[in-house]
Amino acid sequence: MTGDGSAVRGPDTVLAPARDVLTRRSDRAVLVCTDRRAEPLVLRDTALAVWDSFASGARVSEVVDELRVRFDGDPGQIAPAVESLVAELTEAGALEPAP
Amino acid sequence: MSVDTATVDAVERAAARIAGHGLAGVEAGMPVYAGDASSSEWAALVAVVASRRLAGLAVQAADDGALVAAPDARQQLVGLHEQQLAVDLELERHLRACARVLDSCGVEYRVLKGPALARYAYARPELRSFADVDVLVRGHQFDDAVDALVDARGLVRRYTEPRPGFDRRFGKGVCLTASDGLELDLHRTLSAGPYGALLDVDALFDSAPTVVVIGGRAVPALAVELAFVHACMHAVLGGSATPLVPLRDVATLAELMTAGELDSAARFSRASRVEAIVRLAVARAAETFAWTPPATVAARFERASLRGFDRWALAAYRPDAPSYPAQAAATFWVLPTLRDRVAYARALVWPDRSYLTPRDGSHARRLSRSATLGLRWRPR
Repeated sequence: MTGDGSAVRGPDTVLAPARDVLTRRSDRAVLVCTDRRAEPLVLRDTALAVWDSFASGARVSEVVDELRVRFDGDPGQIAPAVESLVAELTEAGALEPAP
Repeated sequence: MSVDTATVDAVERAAARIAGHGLAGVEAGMPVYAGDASSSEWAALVAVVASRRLAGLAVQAADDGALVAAPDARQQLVGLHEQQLAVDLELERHLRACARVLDSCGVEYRVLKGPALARYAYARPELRSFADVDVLVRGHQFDDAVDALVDARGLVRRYTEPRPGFDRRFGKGVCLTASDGLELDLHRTLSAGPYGALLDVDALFDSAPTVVVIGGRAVPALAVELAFVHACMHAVLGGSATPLVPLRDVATLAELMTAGELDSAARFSRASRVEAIVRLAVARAAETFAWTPPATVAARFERASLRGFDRWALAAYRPDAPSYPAQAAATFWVLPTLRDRVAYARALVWPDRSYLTPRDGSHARRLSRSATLGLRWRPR
């Protein structure tokens, strides 16, 4: 297992908000607080869309596809961006493999 | 930038409208308009919304058309709301960690006010922000709780007690501060002064708690009817001249209680001699928000008149005058036994040096001041 936990994640991994995560929603963002980070993460725009997708139970590949369709984006750019965000959220303890 | 009196009054009225927004007993009136984002009126309103932690209700009011705000002004409110939400989350994390400590050492507790009410009494937690965490413990576990939280979480007492054991036996509680500035108010009772001293704290633990889940952890809070009585006490006795959020809690909980919970609230407030306080709180919420309380709540408490005791005791809680010395002096006269009064007076009149030095400086000065206060507050 690598330090960022990427070995436990693949495109078919279903991720969900961690059971101990604390959240609040504003008009335009979700704030996510965990024990691993001093300050809450503030997720907006595409990051918010990613979070909401995982909150309803989605595979990483499904999230990439959803974003590609919604934002008409380049798959070559979206997948790494999603992977990067997933890594950050997992490292922060905000996302974990769904039970 | 100075703001004229008329603007201050208008801003206070607007803040009250915001604080009452969403209550079933408030009729929709003319929308509040506070100027555009560049106006002094808007700046004054934002300042009040920020200081009273009303941003969630303000954004909701703007969304519902009850507060007229230009797009840039609304975005300002949203930004303010996000700042408050970040604090709320850090406080919830702090509460959860403290709850773990208390659970691990077998201390029974109840979470009070904002962190609990946000989760179960308001339509969504984002509508109720808070500034700190309040937890109630029983007197005989008070010192254990303080020691456990200091040891495990590195919390620091904000104020020393007059003598060891004073807070556990007579105090309202103690403020514990974390290294990041977050506060936890550990309560021994629900109010300072004579009303807090008379409260049957054990009865607060007799009712099954309302359980709220904070970040995956089940945490016990006061039962709804007791939270209502506490909200009333806090609104009337808490020391603020315009307690918008406590009054909103009063109204929110009044609208939430079932008939059975209302019965329990009435019984508890009668047994604790705070019926008149509840009536005052409901009346003030009605006046502040142009709110019509549920008929059952109004009927239950409308005949609770101020007795001589209330008129005497309430004078110690005036928000426009320094209240701690008055409350301390008044408390002496309601303590149940001579032994309690002797111990109480000894601790306050002749405290430890660490308590005395920053306050009166000398025992002689304190003795003189204490005697004057004690006589002034003697019940007539």
